[in-house]
Amino acid sequence: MDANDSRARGVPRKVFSKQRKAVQYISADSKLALGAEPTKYIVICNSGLALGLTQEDVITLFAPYGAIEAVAMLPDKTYCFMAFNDESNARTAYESLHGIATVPHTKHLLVLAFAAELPKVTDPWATLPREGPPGLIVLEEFITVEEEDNLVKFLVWDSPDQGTQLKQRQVQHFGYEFRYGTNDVDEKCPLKQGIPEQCDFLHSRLNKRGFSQWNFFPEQLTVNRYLPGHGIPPHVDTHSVFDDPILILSLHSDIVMDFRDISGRKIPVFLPRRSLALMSGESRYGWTHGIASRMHDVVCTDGDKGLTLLPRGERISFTFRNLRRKKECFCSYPWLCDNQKQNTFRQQLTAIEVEKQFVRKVYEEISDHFSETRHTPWPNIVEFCKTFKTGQILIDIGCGNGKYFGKHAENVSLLEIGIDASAHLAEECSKRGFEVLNGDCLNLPFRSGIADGVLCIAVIHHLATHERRRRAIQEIARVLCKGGRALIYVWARNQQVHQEMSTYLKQNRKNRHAHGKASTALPSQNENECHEGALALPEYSDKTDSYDHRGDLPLPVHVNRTDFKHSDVLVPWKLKGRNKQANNDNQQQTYFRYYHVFEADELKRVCIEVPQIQVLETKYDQGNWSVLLRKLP
Amino acid sequence: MKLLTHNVLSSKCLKGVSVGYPLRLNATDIKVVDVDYNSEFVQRMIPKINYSALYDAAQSIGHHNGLPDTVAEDYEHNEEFLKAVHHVLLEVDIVSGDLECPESGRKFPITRGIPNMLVNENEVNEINDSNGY
Repeated sequence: MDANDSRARGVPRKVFSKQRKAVQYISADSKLALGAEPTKYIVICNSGLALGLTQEDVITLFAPYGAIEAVAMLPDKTYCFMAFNDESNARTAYESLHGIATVPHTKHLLVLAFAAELPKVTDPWATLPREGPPGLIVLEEFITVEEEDNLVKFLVWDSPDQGTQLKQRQVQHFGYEFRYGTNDVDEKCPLKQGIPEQCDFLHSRLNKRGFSQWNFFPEQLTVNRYLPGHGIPPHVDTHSVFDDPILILSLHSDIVMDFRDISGRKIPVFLPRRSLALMSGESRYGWTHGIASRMHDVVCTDGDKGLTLLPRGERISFTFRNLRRKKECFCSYPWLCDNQKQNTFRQQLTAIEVEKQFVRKVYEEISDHFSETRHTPWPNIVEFCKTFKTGQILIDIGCGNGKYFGKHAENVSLLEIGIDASAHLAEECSKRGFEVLNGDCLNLPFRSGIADGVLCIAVIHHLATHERRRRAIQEIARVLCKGGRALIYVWARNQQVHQEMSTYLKQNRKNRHAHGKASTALPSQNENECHEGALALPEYSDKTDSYDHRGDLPLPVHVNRTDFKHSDVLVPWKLKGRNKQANNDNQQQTYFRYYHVFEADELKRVCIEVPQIQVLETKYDQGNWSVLLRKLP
Repeated sequence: MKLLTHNVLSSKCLKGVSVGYPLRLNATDIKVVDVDYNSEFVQRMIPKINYSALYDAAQSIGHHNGLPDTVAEDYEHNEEFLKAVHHVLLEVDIVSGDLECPESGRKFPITRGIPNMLVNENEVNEINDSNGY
């Protein structure tokens, strides 16, 4: 930008010397190229978070000049960045503001410059687009304007016995009183005021919007009234007290609700007026949610083209919940789980119970059928087996019927020993002439340092806590000799990497039709190590969420051959009645196996926690994550 | 279960057990099978195994005939020794009986050739929760 033009507009000379110095300093400090040459990125040289400038200030300042693509506020910095959607808007803003407008809340003239790009910041609002936490669904326009009025009308806020004034909001309870001291309800003391009849529409409306599987009849309702500037601290609805899901109806004003996970990741979620937020699974158990106390929210402009500030109005929220009858919670977010935090010993017992009931017992029951479906070895695993030499020892943990035995290179003689927790499967393996033990991956019955190689395929995802998964890898590390290698496979939560469906999803009948080409190329015997449903393919369900709400099961039930919606799930195995044995050939029995499906890098992260081993390779292989480990010499 | 497998088993995971090796072997049914002899395999296996544990196990079930109580010198070239070791390592199959922890006396049954090494959670050390969340 030509300085003469600006001077002609009455920009004082000193602004330019300030700009020069600032550009020098900020370029060095942020390692970004800055200058007077117009781009769509603008740096505010003389204000930032460290000087009390907020994102809202930046948006207010620049919004009149065009759609804002991003704002990058840097912690502890006296400067900040923003981006317009195009360069011409940035140029107009620069010409109108630089050296002419003042820095918000001060009398200093604003000093701007252009930047080649934005710095990388972790603020989720800095870039678009965004996704909500897993398991959260926001149904917009869930109710009509008339229904909204009806709901608000029956509430009385000014009578002294109606509603409790909390620090930052007013609240009323129906069905059961929520006790703030203990964060629970007294199941034995239902309130006189049940769920108001004005809410009766909820069940049928949910059914209509495609959530009939929840069959949701709320038992408890909390109504909150927030005035502009009010908020609620980050919290999680007590796991052992309330069931899944939790429903939040927003009335009278839009709001931004912030979700946070254990890593500190924050996802702001826009809840428009008259929307219903359905919090289930991970979003309900593994994330806190809260509302910041402020007068405005930063939201996307219409069409998601940019950011803007939205003033808050009075908001009334209806939170619908069901009581949890079994006070136990088996979730995999123990840091947010009252039930598991209460007693870590109990947590282990709970995990042991889940594994006993939903892993060990099930494998014994389905072992015949399971073994029939285990025949095609996976190429990458066979490749690993072929790397061993005569006289070496290879242990297969969770060997099943022993399908990876004898896959070593020709003319090589190995000692192969299998171990499986299922007595039936160990017997299958033994019948095929292999050395096998009945045993468990957390307590390997081997002396330390004896194995040149360890295979552990589709085992660790059956362990119900992080600690137990780590212990299994510790045990592998213990039995490996120095320099020994292990190959571990677990089921991935993400079944579609780079838009390519895993074999597991392709086997879904519906997807097979939709992706005819891909499926014809797929040999029929191509069997995923970890998706054992192949012979008993369940009907595809059109549910938008795979949560099957069953009171008798402690975890969500996965819909086979769909994407995973939860990290900890029960996966159905349908066993058709056997000829002759069963009275009715068509009789089907469904068994549920527990799985912890792994996020990207999760397996690697567990391995890194274990001393003395080195991760040589991490791979995504047909819907599974694999790691290749080496014990340090 | 072959004696080679027995040679790598341990009950170290049991609470209060420090070595858990070698497991005492009681056999009620033994089957002798033919396995192709591979001299290289046996040669490479000898430094890995615990020879005295192998000898004791073989002796305890009366199958130590022809097996010296220590590793032969220059064993790589001692075909007679290697074949004797081959026989004991791979051809003597324990069909039933049990394995006994030398420290705690806990018995692990062997049925149809498969040792049941499963343990209850109260028999093993608790899983360390120290690093927390």
